[in-house]
Amino acid sequence: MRYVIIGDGPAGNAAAEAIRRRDPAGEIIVLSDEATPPYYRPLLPLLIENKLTQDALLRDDLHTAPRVTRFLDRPVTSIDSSKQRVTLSDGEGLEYDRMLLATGATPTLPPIAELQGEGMFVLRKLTDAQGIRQAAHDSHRAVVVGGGRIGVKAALALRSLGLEVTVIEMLDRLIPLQLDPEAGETLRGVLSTQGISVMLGEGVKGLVREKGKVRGAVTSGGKQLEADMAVVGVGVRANVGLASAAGLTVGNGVKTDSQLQTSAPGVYAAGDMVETTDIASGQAMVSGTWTNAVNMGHTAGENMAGGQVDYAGALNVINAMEVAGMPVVSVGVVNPTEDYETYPHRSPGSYRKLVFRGERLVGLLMVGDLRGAGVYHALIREGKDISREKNRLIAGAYSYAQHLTPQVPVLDSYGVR
Amino acid sequence: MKQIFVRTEHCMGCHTCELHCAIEHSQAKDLFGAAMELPTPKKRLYVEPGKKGPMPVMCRMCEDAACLNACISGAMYREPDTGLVLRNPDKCIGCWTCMMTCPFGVVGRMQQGGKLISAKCDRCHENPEGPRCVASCPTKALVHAEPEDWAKQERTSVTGQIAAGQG
Repeated sequence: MRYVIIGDGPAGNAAAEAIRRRDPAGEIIVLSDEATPPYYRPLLPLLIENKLTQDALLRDDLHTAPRVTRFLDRPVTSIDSSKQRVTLSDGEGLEYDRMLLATGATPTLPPIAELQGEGMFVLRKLTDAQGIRQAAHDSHRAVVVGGGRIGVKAALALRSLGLEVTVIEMLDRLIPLQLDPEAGETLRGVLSTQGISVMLGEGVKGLVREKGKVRGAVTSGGKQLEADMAVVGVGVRANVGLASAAGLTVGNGVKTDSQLQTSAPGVYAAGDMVETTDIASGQAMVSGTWTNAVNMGHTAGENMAGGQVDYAGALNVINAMEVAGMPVVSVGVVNPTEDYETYPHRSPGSYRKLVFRGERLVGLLMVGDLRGAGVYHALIREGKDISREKNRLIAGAYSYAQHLTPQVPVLDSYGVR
Repeated sequence: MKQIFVRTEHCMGCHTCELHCAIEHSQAKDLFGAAMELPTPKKRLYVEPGKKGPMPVMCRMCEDAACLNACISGAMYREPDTGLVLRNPDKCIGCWTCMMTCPFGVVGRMQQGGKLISAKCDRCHENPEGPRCVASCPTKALVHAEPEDWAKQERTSVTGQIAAGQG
């Protein structure tokens, strides 16, 4: 049995592990369009800051499936699912019995003037981080377009290198998908103490270039900023080009059945390129997070190797982060509209918000004190009626101990002791 | 792999296990030394109020470990020989993804080497005497045993007590 995995990120690696567990003898080939062995993408900001070397970013043997053949820097150009064959950029063909699409996502570039060219970066791949680090060396000021997770992390990394940094976010708060207005405001305060300027509710009309080099940016409100470089982090879109060209069913991402098999038999999909369902809201979504990618990769890998496991769905928001000394966890619906009940709780240095829909816990936001985050997360994932525990949850007096019952009830019933 | 079992009816909620867990993970390894240390040594198990009394909650070294699956830096790893899920302090970047995903809520935060990293049970694997929480429990509510041995022992014990009650 030959398994071909396109993509060497968290989904591809999780799938390789799951396949290897079930099928010790099968041939596993991972195809990567990057020249580096698999690495931890979330560590890239630390590379920019020179806190980690490039080698420290790589997966070690404990985190790589054994006996996997890797083709690095070998992009796939086409898939023929009827012949069960992929073609690589150098024209070489490769046949498969089972195939996984785990091609991830690509940063979106907003339609603004003078954007493309020297001095403008996204932050997705190792080469992006290397470029940013190099450019930062020769720059004094940076403008960051987009105040989401990537934008904020890039801003902090650049600031730590001594640059003057301005973050421009179109919405009214930082990290708008994962934070609510209150947590966003706290973060804005933290960033300003670090010397980062934040402009909210403002778009970017265009970059200003002089002889091709970035010299600044103009905001939608007409403000002029000086800058020597720009980092853009306004979201990603699923890499579905290969899948579309191969005739697979594609929406916002590749569509799959409950076992993560695409419309082509034997072809599975996992990670940032898949259209799946948000457990918390029930809505269709394309994930962009590590945790979802790994879960999908495990399920897809297991099924590719003969398993019959249903994928339970993802969480559109499932993020933990430490930004500038501020620990944050956000899961599920954190910015509810109507039909939701919200219970905020504040104490010095911490903020917790629980969101309920009917008798289900559907959202969690914690800042400062993260104790119990995993227990709340598990309740969101299970989606059970928790009305009996609701008051305890809201009071923050809930722990896993509530699930445990004494193991030897027979002792109690006989009154021995 | 040996697991830690809780004889819940023996737990008095005295928190001695928590204290000794912190001591074991200190530099000094004794109460007075540990109490003076900075940063303060952290416990990795938690005695929480349960439905029928106190309940120690701790890492189970899950076969399908959420913390390990979710780790974004390669810090969490499964030790090949023992099967223990451990955290490499050098690789941990303190992103708290493990805290977010552990359904038992038994991953915490601690300071070490000038940075904040996750704190989780390591079964005192460097201590030949085994887990200190187990050794320290004054009522023997915690038992470190192979699951098969534990099940057998519990069966025998219950049968014995039923027989005694009837006699």
